[in-house]
Amino acid sequence: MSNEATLHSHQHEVTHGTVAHDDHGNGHHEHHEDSFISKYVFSMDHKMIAKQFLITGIIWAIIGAAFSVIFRLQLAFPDTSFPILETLLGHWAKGGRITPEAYYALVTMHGTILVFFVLTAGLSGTFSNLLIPLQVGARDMASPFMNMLSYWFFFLASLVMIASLFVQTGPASGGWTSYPPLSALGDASIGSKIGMDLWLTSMALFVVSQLLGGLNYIYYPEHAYQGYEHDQDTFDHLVFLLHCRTGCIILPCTAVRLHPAADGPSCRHQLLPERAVRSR
Amino acid sequence: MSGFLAVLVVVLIFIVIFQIAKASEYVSILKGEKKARQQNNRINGFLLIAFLVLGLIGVYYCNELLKGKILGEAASEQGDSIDNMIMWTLYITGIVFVVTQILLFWFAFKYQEREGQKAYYFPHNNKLEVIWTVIPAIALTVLVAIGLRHWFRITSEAPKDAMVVEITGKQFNWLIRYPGKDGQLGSKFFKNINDATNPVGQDWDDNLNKDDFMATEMHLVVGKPVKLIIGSRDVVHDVGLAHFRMKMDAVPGIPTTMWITPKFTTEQMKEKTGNPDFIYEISCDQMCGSGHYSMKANIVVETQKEFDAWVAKQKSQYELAHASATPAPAPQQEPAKDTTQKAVAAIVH
Repeated sequence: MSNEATLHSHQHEVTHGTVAHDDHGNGHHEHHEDSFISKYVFSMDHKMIAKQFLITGIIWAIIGAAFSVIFRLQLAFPDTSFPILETLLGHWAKGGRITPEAYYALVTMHGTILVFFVLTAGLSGTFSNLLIPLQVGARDMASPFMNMLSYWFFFLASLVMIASLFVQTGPASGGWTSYPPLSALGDASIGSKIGMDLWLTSMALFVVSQLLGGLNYIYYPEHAYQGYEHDQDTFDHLVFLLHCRTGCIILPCTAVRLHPAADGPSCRHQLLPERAVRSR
Repeated sequence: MSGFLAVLVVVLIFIVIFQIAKASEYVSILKGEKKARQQNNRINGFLLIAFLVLGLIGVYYCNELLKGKILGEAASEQGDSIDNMIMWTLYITGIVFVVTQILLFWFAFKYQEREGQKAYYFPHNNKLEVIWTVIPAIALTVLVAIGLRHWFRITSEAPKDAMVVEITGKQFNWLIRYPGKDGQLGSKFFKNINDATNPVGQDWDDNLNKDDFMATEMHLVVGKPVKLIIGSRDVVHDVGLAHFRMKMDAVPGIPTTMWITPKFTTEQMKEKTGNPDFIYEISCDQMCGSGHYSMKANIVVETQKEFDAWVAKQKSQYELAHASATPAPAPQQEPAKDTTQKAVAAIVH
C-alpha cells in the first residue's frame, strides 16, 4: 500500500465518523452487522482499539496533568495557602497546604500516570494499533483477540490505579520507581500500605496488557523480514515505526521488572543483617 | 456555586472549540477539500517557523534570565572536573540541538504541499546511514568515557592521607560518625541500635569504637581529601552535596563510598557568594518518605587548626552512652522510635 493510499483511506474514515455519522464508518472491511458491544466495547478492530487507547490515554493525561498543576502550585508558592486545595483534597491539604504525604503521593502518581498510562499505553497503544496494519497493508493485527485483551487489561489496570487514589492511606507515594525498602514496608511510608499493593497489582495488569499488545506489534515486522524483502516500500515504513515502538514497549516493561530485581539484594541484605550490616 | 460556574465555563469552552472545528470543516467542504488542505498546510508551515524562532529566542532568554541563579563555582576539586564535563556535554548536545531544530522546522516549512511539487521518494542511502550512526556513536562514547573516568575516580580508593567520615541516613536525618584519634571506625551491628545511646549500633566490645564520636554537623578540612562511608538504617537515602557536585546513594546493607577534596572553607564561600548566611548543605536526594524534604545536615569546611580544636571538644559516643546509662537506665529500655527498624526485625523473625 502506498503512502498516499494510506493517508486517504484514513482521512476518508475521519470525515465519515465526525460529519456524516455513518454507521458504516469502518466499511473497508467485509460488511457484517456488529452489535454495539462488539463494535464499540469489546471490539477486535484495530482502529477502534486504537481509539479506545487514545481516549483512555487522554483521560489519564488530564488526570496526570491536573496532579502536576496541584503539586507545582505548592512548589511555586510554598508560603501561600490555597483553600481550593482543601476543597479538592480534604484532609490531605488542611488549611490549603498540601501535606508532605499528599505531595509525594501526587508526584508519584503523576510520574506513574505519565510514564505508563500516557506515554506507554496512550501513545504506543494508539499509534501502533492504528498504523502497523495500515503500513503493512494488512486488514488487522495478527491477533485481534489478543489486541482486544491488551486494551481491556489496560482498562483493568486503570481501574485499579484509580481505586488506589481513594483508599484511606492514600496512593503509592515512594516515587514512580518504587524502590524498596521504602515501597515494601508499610511502616516506612503511609503510601506503602494498601496504596502500594494496588499500585503493584495495577502494574502487573499493565505489564500483561503491554505484553499482549507488544506480541502483536512485533508479529508483522517479523513477517516483513521473511516475506516482504522485495517490498522495500513497506519495509521502510515499518522500520521507522518499529524502532520507536520497540523502544517504547521494551524499556518500561524491563524497567518495572528490573527495578525490584536490581534493588532486591539491598532488601535481602537488610533481612540478613548479620552478614550485611556488620561489615565494619 | 463557584464550583458549578467553573464546570460550566469548562463545558462552554469545549463547546466553543467543538463548534469552531465543525465550522471550519464545513468551510473546507464548501471550498473544496484540496484547496482547504493546501491553505492549512501553508498556515502550519508559517506557524512551525514562528515556533522555531520564538522557541530559540525563549531558550536564549531563559538562559540569560536564570544565569545568576545557579549554584556558582564548584567547591571541590572533583566538582570542577564534573562541571567541566557538564559544559562539554552541553556544548556538544547544544550544537546538535540548534542544528536539528532548525532543520526540522525549516524542512517542514520548505517542503510543504505546493502545486506541481511532488514528494521525492528517498528510500535508502547506506552512506547517510553510516554517517548518522557513526558520528553520534563516537560522540556518545566520548561523553560516556569521560563520565566513567570521573565515576571511577570518585568511587575508587581514597588517597592515603584522606580523613574518614561515616554518614548514615535514617528517616529523617543524618548520623555522622568520626573515627576519633585512631583514625579507624569501630564495627557495628544493627541489633545494638538504640536511638538514645547508640544511634548507629556500635559494638562496645570493639576497642576501635571507644574513641569514635558522633557529630551533628560534618566538619571537614579545606584542601584535605575526605572519604565518606555511606550507609542507611532503613530505606534508600542519598547523600546530596550540591556545592561539591557530588551525590551517592545510601543503601541499607550495602556501604557505598566516595571521596572529595573541599576547596574553600565556609568563610571563603560566604565572601565568594556574598551571602553571610552561607552553609554547605547535605540534602537527601532520594525520595525516602514523608520527611524527605526536611532531611538535611550542615557541613562546616575549616582550616586544620579549627578542625583540631573542634575535635578536641568532642566526646566519644562510648563515653556518652556509658555516662548516661549509669544514672538513668530508663531511656535504654524505651523502644526505638524508628518503626521501620521494628518492621524489619519482625520480618526477620
